[in-house]
This record gives sequence, structure tokens and C-alpha cells, in this order.
Amino acid sequence: MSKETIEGITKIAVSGFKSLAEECTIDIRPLTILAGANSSGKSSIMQPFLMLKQTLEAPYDPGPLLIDGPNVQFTLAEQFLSKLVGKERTDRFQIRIETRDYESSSTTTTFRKGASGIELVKMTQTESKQFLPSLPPRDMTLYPEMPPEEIKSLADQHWIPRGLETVRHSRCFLRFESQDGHTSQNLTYNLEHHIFNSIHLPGLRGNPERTYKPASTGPQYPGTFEHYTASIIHEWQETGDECLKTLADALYALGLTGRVSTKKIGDTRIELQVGRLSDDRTGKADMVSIADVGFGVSQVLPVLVALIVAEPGQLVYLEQPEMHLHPRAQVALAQVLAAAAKRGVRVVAETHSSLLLLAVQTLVAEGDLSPELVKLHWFRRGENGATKIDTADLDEAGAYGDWPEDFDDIDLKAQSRYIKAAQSRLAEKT
Amino acid sequence: MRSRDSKRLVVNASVARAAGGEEATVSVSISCTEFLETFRDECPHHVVMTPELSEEWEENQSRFAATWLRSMIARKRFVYIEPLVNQALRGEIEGTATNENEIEDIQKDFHLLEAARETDHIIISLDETVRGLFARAAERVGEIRDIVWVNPERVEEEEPLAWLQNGAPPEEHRKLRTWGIG
Repeated sequence: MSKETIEGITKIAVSGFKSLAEECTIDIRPLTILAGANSSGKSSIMQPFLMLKQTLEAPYDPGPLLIDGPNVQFTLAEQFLSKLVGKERTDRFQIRIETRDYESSSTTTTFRKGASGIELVKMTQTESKQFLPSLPPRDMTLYPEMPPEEIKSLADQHWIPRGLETVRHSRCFLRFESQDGHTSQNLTYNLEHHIFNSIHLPGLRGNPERTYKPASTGPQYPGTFEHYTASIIHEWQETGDECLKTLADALYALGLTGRVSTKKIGDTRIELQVGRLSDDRTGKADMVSIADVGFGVSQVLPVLVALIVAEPGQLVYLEQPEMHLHPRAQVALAQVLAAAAKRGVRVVAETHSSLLLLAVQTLVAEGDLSPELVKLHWFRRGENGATKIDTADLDEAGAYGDWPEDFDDIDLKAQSRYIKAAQSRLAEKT
Repeated sequence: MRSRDSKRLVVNASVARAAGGEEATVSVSISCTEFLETFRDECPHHVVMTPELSEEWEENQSRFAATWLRSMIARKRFVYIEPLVNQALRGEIEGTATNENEIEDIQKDFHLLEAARETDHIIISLDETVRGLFARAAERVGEIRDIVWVNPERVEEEEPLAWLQNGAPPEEHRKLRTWGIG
């Protein structure tokens, strides 16, 4: 499967947001790795996307942008609007999302802090018309309070049905609407579908619990994903789904446990159980609550379930999937990420694990993962505090070429420092 | 793609073993560590690997050297070649040996010459015995006279770091043809 044949979100660009003062862009491939130092902007590039997600998924209309929700929590616009050293704080930020479905599309939305909260300033959309060449490529900018004559001109150019005489926001996007609001033309249907479908697993995944509340088993997962883990596993168990075996295999490959199962406690709770021994794949008797085993299992379980349950084209954003894992398990995790990527899932993994990256490089060099499915983005802060992103492709040997700094730099410097210090100490003794 | 200033260097496994290795003396270990650091951080050069050399690195390398090599591969500064075995040349060089031990030493490191001859004629090694044997052979065997040999341990005599930073030039006094003369 080549990267061209996979549908879904292909690019995210952000500006004016935290340290991403100038526009920063990441290409999204089936396995997209975000790496870099703490506070370099890795999470920030995904946060505007997550704000769109929580805005669309809110059970009530939260207005143009929900900044304090299940995925991202802010209480003031000043907490996320960019302010570089020696410069005024910006009053707006922008997010551009590119998608590929039957057509390629790009939607840029600009938000600003207004008198009554966050306002949607404008939305620009471009769309190729490869499959409908008789139509002109769409390239239009909408904004609230757009004059009727401008709307009419746009509508004529782009075959927008007559009678849609106003531009209004529908949550975080703009659309054409009739004056009475009864009819509308949604320009962002595909994009909204991809955002709704996205899976987000935050870095803080909570403590393991004795029992979990039942939740939906998909295909959409509003909020953060860890709440769905127990219910999905329970459904796999009850329906005899092969995914349960895939999950157990993955846990075994990670050296964590050989078995996983669920137990319904009344109608309102589900208990997650895992095998006590990491190498026992048969014994049913020795199952214990997930709360009674190491953190590694409970923290990685949602990661594995998300990667297994995700459909081709679905974006899965994982913050530090390697959290609490032993180095051996970090290496094995790469195989699970690669398996999802090969199915066409778009995995975005933010990581501090040099071993995970090395294991991905190894899978490519071994021919088990096509290099065109992988994209690396290395985040760093420039002198003025703004984020810079260096992007690399892997070649067939898993090599990525020259980066300004990478995990190996840090590793080699630390080793060199230790070698010199330890050997000098030994020399003193002799 | 290699820049014009970049050279392809054959680095013997003795360097990989010594850089941070527990068996090396302090000064050798630190010299080799600094040589590899300078190679990677301050120069555009590439490291050459052959099947035989790769096996020797695998057996001998310190953790530092393993990380260094991995990083050179990741940065696309790694050249993998499979040199043709030149039996005639081997025979000529072995013919310069005066005893069995010398023949063994020559056979052990002949692959370095083959790799260097197919790249930029540069060998980095700590082994002064073999260097001496090859230098003596170079008096009779023209094909290896222009091979440059640098020992990262001989910091004062050879200034290996400055030589690396200057582009690893084929200076006359570093060639096997002139080794030991004067």
C-alpha cells in the first residue's frame, strides 16, 4: 500500500499557536513520528486539531471553538496564542488541514480572541476536482458577515445552490446557509468526518482501575480513547473477535502478559484482567485485575487496542506510547505501530524513545515496513523561542540523513562524557 | 550524496573496540572516542564497511562505537562495499613476510587494504605492527604505496583530529610508501 492510496488527513499546519508562531507543517503518513526535546512544540502542533475535535464532538454547541474540553484544556486564549521573545502576543492562530479522499482538499481556519471569546475569523478552502474536471477547482475564502454580493459571486463560481445567501459558522467551520437557517451547504463534510473519526490517546492515561464504566465500542471515539478500552476488549471477548488474540499476541510480544480478558460486574462496570505471568499463554486460573500488575500493562493497553481497532485512513494520535515500558517492550511496540500503518491507519506517535525510533528504522531496513509509509519530524526551538521542524524520510536502509540533533547525539555525548570521567577516575587509582 | 570534501575512511575494528572499551588503556580509549566524535560531529566523511570489517566490528565494538556506527548509518554517512578478492596482490604482499607470524598478521588485515583501494585509500587503525609490515611490503608492491594510514592513538605524532578536520588529505608522510623513512 503506498502513501498515495491511503485516504485521510495528510497534512497539518499551524501558526500563531504557542511556540508555533510561524507556520509549522507536518506531513501525516501512516507512521508519523514526532520527536524532540520537552516543550519543543510536539504536542502544540496537534492541540489545535484536538480543539477542533472536541468542538465538533461536544454534546452541546460550544460556539466556534471549545478550548477547555476532554482533549485539550485551556482557560484563557493567552495560554495558547503565540508570544515570542521581544514581540507582542498575537491575537489569532490558524490551522490548515489537508485531506485526501476522492479529491485532495485543504481547509485553513483562522481564530482570534474577540470581545466575547474565541471567534472564527475566516475559512479558506481549496479542493482539486480531479474526478469532476468540468467543475473549476474550489478555492474560496469565507468569513462571517460576508456581504451578499460576495457570497453570490462565490456561489456562482462554485455551483453553490441558490438561496444560500449567508455565511455562518457551524461550530468550528463556516458554511453557506439560507437566511432562515433551514438549508445549508457544508463545505467541510469530509474533513469533519476525519476529525470525528480520529482517536486521541493522551500522555496522561490515568491510574489502572478495578472496574471500568461501559462505553461505546466505536467506530467513533469522542474524547480521549482510554475510556473505551475495557468495553472494546469486552466486546471482542463476547463476540469471539480475532482482535482479542491479536491483542494478546501484542502484549506477549511486549513481554507483559500472555492473556487478557474481561468480566462484567453487574450492568454498569467491567473488570479488566490480565495473566499474572508474562510467559503463561494458557492458564486461565491465574488472572488478576489490571490494577494489580505493573503500570506498563495498563498504560500500553489503550495504545494497543487503539492501533488494533482503528480502520484504514483513521488518524490515531498517541502521546508517548512507550510510557512506562521496559526498553525491550519499546522495541517490540514498533512492530505493533508498523502493523497498523501497513493496514493504512494513520498513526501519529509523539515519542521520546530512541529505541522505538531505532526499531522503526530496523523494520524498514529489514524490509518489513515500506519507508514511504514513514515520516519523521524533529522539533526544536529557535533562538527567538519559535518552533522549527526538521522533517525526514527514511530510505530503504532506514536511514534519515542529517538532522540538526537527534537521539544519537545525546546518547553519544552522554556516553563520551561517562567514558572520559570513568576512565580518568580509574587512571587516578592506578 | 557525498560532498567533495567528504572522504571514505576504512576504520579498523581495533578503533571500535578501544573507543570506550573496558580493555583499552585510558589514553587509547579517550583518543579513539575523540577521533570518532570528531569524525561524526565536525567532518563530512563517510565510514566504509565490508562484510569482513562488519563482522569484526560486531565482535569487538564498544557500546559507544555501536551507537556511533548506528548514527553514521542513520545519517547516510556509511558506505557498504564488497571488495573483490585480489589473490595476486595478496600473494605479492605475503611474499614480503619473513615468518609465519607476519603472514598471519598480513592475512588478518589484508581486507583493510582491499577496502581502502576501492574507496579513498585511507585506513584508520591502531595496529602499528601490521602498518609496519604493509609499509615494508609497499617498497616492493606499488599498488599499496599511496594508501594513507592514520593511528588515532598517536595524538602528538600524527595529529589525527586536525588531519580529519582538514579534510583527511593524502599527505605524503602518512602514506605507506614513506612510513618509517626519515
